[in-house]
Amino acid sequence: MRARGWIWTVLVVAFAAFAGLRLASGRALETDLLAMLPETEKNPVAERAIQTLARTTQERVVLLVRGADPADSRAAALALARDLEAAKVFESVQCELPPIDPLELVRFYAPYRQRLAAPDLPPGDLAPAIQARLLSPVFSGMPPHLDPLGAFGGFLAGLPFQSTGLELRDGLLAVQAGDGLHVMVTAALRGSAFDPVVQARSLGAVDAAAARMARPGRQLLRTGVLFYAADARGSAEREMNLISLLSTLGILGLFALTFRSLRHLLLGLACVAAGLASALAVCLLAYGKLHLLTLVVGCTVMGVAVDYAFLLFAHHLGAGGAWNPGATLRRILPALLLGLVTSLLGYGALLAAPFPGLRQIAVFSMVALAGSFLTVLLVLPDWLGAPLPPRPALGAALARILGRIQGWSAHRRTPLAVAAALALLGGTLAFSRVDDDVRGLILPSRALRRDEARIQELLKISTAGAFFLVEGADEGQVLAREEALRARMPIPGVAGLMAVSAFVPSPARQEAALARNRAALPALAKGMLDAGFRPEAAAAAREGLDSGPLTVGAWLGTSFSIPLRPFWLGPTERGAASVVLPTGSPDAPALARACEGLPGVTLVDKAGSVSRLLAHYRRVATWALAGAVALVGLLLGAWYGPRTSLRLLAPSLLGMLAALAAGAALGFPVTLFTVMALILSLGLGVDYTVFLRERDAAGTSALLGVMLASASTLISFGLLALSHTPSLRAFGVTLAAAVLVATLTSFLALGERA
Amino acid sequence: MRRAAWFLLAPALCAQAVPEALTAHLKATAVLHADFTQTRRLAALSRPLKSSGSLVVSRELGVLWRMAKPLPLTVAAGPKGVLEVDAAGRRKLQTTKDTPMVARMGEIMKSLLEGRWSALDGLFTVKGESGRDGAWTIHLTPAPQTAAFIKAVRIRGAAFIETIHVDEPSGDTMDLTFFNFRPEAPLTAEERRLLSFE
Repeated sequence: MRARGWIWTVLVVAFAAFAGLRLASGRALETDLLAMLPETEKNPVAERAIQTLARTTQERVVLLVRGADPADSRAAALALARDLEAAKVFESVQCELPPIDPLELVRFYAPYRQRLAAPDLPPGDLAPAIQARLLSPVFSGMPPHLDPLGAFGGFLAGLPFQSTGLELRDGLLAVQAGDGLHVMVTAALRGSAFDPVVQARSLGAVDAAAARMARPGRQLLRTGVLFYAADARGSAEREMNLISLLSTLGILGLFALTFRSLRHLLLGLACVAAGLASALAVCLLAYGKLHLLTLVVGCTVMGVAVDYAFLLFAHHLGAGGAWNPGATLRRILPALLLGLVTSLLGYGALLAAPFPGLRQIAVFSMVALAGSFLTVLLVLPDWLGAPLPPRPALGAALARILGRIQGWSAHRRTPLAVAAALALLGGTLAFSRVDDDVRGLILPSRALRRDEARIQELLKISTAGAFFLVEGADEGQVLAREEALRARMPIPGVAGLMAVSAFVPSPARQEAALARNRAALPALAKGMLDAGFRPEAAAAAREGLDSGPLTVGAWLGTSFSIPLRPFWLGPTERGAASVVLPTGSPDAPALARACEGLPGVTLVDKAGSVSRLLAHYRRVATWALAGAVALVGLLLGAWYGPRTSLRLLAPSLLGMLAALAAGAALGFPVTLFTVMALILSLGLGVDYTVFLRERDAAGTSALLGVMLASASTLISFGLLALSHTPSLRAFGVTLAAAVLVATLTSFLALGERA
Repeated sequence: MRRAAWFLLAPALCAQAVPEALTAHLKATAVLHADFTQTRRLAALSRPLKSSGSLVVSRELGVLWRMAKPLPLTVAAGPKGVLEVDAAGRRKLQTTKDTPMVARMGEIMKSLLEGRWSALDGLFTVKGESGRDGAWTIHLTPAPQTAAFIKAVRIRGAAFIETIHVDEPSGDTMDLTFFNFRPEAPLTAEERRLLSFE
């Protein structure tokens, strides 16, 4: 073997060692879906808000426990919480609420009471109203002389602590539903939900505790990023294992059928392994982490990477005694190179989309192909050794197939059949539909989705993940703009708006309340005297009129601000900003209408933005596909002349139409992924036609090579149909259908030429 | 919780109660009507504040407090919240869902309606002593978190709860006297309507 071959071998071994070490560390895998998606918001504050909110929700696990009866619900929830606590893997576990301390509320707000609320003065004498407050048995929170008309008590009572479906029952947060009492238990993770160590430990603790509390009649609903991340990891790993196993078995089968040689088998696998090792190492070096989807899709590249080896081996098999590695390689090199370039162009088109996830898939696949190609070029010829004994039976079979195909092509009814097939295709294509919803890309397990839907229904928490971003020049303007937004309630589908301004009124509102309290002072003092207050107590009515304003900073220091703290984004480069979260089950258009015409208020809807971006890039990719067809056409035209180039291109185009029709028939919507698969199929389809065009005199070696290559591609991409991820399934099926039809048609075209 | 305090205890009028030895004979009445007088002595007021009216306790629906003098004021309190109707007929509804404080009151209320004195655990220590002819006295000593609102509570009764005396930390006091018990009278349609917040 020459020096270049050795250098490449050493490099591949180093790649493999590096990738192996990184993957074994367990921290080289990325399961966060957000990391795959592009930044969608032009406004950097909105991106920051998305990240902040995502972090807050990522670190929490929400469990709802229902027992056979309310007492059993309680007991089960307490037992679950105790077990989770005892596992010592959570930062905190919350089930029983600490008794609410109304005193903290009163102590914090009392100094500002004249700025928070002003009474609606009844006409005339105030004494009866004041007396009624004195006599009412309802808790007002303040000594009567400090809040004679109960306005401040009303403010305290109106603080929206619970804008969800939860109620406080016997010290537990619970929801009463038709099927019983659901008690909530929440646990805070010790770290990120995407950290595999945190994931395994926390999930283990929840599963163990759930198993211990399980009894007939009890039910546990769970939701949280932890479960989704673990589910995504689990199903991706299962799919990866299954697809790579079946792919390998398929390729092994093809080798066994055709070559009957252990050496070829090992060399073929070495080519694939070298490609995968280079791809893993380069991606880990470039990105630091590999996304799960990259690995799943990466398995399919095996089927393409093995093509170059197949082609060389096919020639080896047919060479008979005249085997000369150098000469053979030189002869098939143009075809191999053209094949590589078209495939790289196809995958390169994926780089155009600004999706980090898609780009990584493209880089992975391109490096894997290049790695395999280099191995075929530099290493394989020296190891192939003496030619295999000729396989006359195989040759005869291939010749028969070739003859049959040529017979079809020559048949006079063939144009009719082609026309009928095209009509059928056209008819099926009419059923195609387009769907760019990002939620279709990834589909968690049914059990998780069912639990989450039920929990959201019970807790009345919005599922859409959409929120309002409120920005202003300063804190006061942000609060005032929040208030303008809250004044838009009721909004269809919205149960409540969680907002900081509900706890800290805007300076404008504080000043207005203060002015009204100042104006009411004389009448109030007189009314208090009339109602029987001592003069010194009546004088207390003016207390607090000189107090400074209530600020968000002061509120952030209280313990009851904890649930809303992440909503206050604080100072930004454009002033200040906050988040207002709608609860309930609103739809995005209703929310968009609700904030129409409000300055500084924007609806941030990540799922919606990503979906719109997907739609945009689906259209861009469709144009890119047209461009790629033109480019490949030009390339082939320059090489072979215009007439032949059209003939080489036609099978791929037909394959694409057939794939679209297959997708329509199976009910898959057309997405960005479908178009990407079509672009790739163009590269592969043209490869096979070119391989066939470059066939040797006997005509069977190239045919064999192309049949093997096409079969392996079909196997590995077709296996993506097993994936639970709808986008990958559609990708695989589209690609497999396109390649299948393109290969079959290229045989027909071949016959015609003969 | 200041003025709310007696209100929480009112359901005890028909509670089965702990200490059981003292209150076991309290009738488990489904509905009880009674009249009341209330005297509040507040440091901020130059003279005691007296009021009177009637009271309905329903094990099922809650408590209806109907003050007649010195001005009409109706308060209905049940597990779902508190409804106030003032002299001018203005209604104010606070539901347990909206406000945790009302929710807490509702919790205690409901527990007492179900005859569970233990609902006061954590808020008060409950001690009882018996007198002659089936009379008894129960002393409530507040737990630290309640101590800011209430200093001491004394409840006296025999067949029913007859008086409640509340001392507040500020020196303010409240005395409630119940009389004219009518355990047989059913809920009127209007009472039922008010208690259902309709």
